[in-house]
Amino acid sequence: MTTDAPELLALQRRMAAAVMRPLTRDEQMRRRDENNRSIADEADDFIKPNDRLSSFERLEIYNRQYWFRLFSSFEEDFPGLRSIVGTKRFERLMRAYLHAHPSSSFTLRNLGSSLVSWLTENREYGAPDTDAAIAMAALEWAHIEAFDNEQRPALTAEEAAALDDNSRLALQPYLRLFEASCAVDDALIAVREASAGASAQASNAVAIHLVRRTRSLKPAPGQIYLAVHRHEDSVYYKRLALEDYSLLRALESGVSLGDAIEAAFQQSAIAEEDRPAHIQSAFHYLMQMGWLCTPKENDL
Amino acid sequence: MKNSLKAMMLGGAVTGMLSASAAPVHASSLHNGAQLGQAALSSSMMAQDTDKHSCKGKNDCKGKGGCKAGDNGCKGKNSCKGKGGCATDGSKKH
Repeated sequence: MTTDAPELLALQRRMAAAVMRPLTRDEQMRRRDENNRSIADEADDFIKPNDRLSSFERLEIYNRQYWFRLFSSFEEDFPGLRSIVGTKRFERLMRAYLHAHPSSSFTLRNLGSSLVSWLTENREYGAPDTDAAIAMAALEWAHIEAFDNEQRPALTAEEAAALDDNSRLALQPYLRLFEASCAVDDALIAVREASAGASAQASNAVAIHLVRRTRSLKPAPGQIYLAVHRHEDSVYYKRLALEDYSLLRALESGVSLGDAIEAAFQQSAIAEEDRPAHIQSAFHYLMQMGWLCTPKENDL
Repeated sequence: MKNSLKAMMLGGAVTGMLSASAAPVHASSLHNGAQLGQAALSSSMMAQDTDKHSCKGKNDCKGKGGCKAGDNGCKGKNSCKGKGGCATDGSKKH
């Protein structure tokens, strides 16, 4: 059989639309499309039946598998959010989010890229502790970005020696800055450890027990500032002092080095005479970690 | 901020950068001992998983078990077994 390119493209788009169409509430393929046309008729039109399955049933397999894969990936990416809102609410949240933001990328890595903004606009899905839910979603997204965002060449000693008050620096794209009013970092680590423990156990009874414990975890209140970053292919959460966080935020925003240093101490309780030593220590660490780079032209 | 203090801070920043070891940071030094500024004494870093996202969009996640026990991600996953859902030719038997 030969098929010309436009005809193949039309067929591919038709198949994609059918496979990506949302399921019913009980996770079956819909009987009618958004224009009230019969999906059975649509399936008959371009999918052959076999001796066991109708065209509709054959298409339904792919339609359901597509959505089950998305659900599975989303659950894998946001176990902390699930632990905060609870399993039932998480299912509802996930379906509503994926309906509003269906996958539009070649990679499932990007599936949750709009979750924080969506949850901020649809706060009822994060209830009862919506602020903690949003913070957790933001941390889990930062984790994804820290894992595979670009690593640029780090600032060299020669480049550092040439810096002055008006110089501008950039941060590594894999370094994500994060603040929250509760300890979502500790909560997420606990969820992951419980999950890892559960999967390592042979006993289902133990696994179920650990999953239940996970559901009851709530982040402890308290302001935190974090650097979520990657080192040797592992993601780390580093708690920061307010001054360090403010410094990094200012550098990230593209202000001059002099202004960034000033911004670091705007709300600081550190005595003036101690600030130069603090800054020296901070930049020593930033340089050692390779978090600083020279800005690209489009960063300026 | 006074100009003299500003100059001292900038000098401190450059000195800090230049004094940074050229040797790579080891994972063990990322934990409690490492801090940004002197005020960051309570900070700690916790290692997270290393391959969670490495398979997204690639083909190396085969066999890693996308379906987890206890969630709903696998509902109906075996419903196509033996029914020929994957055949491109409707006449083919499996």
